Amino acid sequence: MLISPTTVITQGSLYWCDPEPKDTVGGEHKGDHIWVVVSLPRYHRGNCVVALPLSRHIEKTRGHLIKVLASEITMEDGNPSIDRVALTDQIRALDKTRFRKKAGYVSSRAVSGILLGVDFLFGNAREPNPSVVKS
Amino acid sequence: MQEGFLTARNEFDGGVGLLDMPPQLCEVGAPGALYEQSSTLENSLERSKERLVRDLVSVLDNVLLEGLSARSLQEFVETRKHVWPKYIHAVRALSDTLSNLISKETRETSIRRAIASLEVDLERQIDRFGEALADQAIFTVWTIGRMRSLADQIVALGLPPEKKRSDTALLSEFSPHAYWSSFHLDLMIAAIKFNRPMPEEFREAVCEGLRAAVNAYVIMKEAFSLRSPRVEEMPDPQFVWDKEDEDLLASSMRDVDANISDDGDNAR
Repeated sequence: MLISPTTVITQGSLYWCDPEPKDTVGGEHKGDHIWVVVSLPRYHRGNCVVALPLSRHIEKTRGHLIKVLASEITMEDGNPSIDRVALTDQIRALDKTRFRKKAGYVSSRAVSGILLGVDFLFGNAREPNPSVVKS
Repeated sequence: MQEGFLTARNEFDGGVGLLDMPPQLCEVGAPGALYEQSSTLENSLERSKERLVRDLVSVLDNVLLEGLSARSLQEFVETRKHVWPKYIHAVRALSDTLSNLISKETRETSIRRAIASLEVDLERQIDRFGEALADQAIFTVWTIGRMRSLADQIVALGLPPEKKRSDTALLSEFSPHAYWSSFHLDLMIAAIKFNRPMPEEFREAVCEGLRAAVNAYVIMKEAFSLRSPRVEEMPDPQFVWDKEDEDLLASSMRDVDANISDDGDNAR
């Protein structure tokens, strides 16, 4: 079941992203990743959302590749919560209609931590001024 | 001890929760060993006061050198348990003394300069620390800068009285993470200062300790949200979405498809 274009995708939501059919193995999706949405719904245009993968390979944790503990992840699809690493350098524009299903969500603290990693990657040394962000 | 994102407070060895942490957020996040590096501070102090500060720095140095004396992971974990409460006392004594002797502006200038030079120093220390630890330290120093910037905003916003209790709870959660991270960064600064090695066996433990800075930062963000709550807004239908956007998004998705790897969640 894919996500409808009218569905509002919120920041911190976790989705499985549907690869091309040729990549599937039986009922499973071989390269399937959980993606955490980092963009704000206020700025979503068309079917575009900005997200990055949460890898189970926590050995990749390093500086701006932020570890997210299982306690900060709520799975809603029956899969267990495990420690993951946010691959902030794999940030992408994704088509929300290619999201296969909602996996769950991460805490607001996890979102802040992930965005800290993204800001480091983009060289944003200072904390954004909220009045500028809102304008 | 499991660290990284959101370490539970009671997992910190040494019972830092027993200490009466200072209520000011903005002084936290300045590694204690940085105070040594500033000539701005020295110029602002009379000789007797300078001697007092030097003595306190010397106490802190000795604590850190004790932490660096370990030669194995197990030894490091044991030594850290032992020196952690001493570190808290030493760094607070130094911080409190400097707060009494030097103006906030001078301290701020001094810490800003020291942080800038520390970033440069760490980039030159890959041989001593290895790439992963040096990278984590550089990220931590950068995060400290973000925390200081966020602290300015928090102080400027003020706090509604009805949120005082939540704010106090956040502060008591924040302090151990901030100090734990500073402790590990101070160990690295001491290793540079006294030309001590950082054995590979416990570099990952130091790395994990540094990651507590992320925990401290996200707790600060929550304190900020108490003062400036974010209103969730719905997508704006006025945004233009055209063929160019459609093509770019399709291109991004093709990129995702092309990079399907064997390390996905369902990889065998």
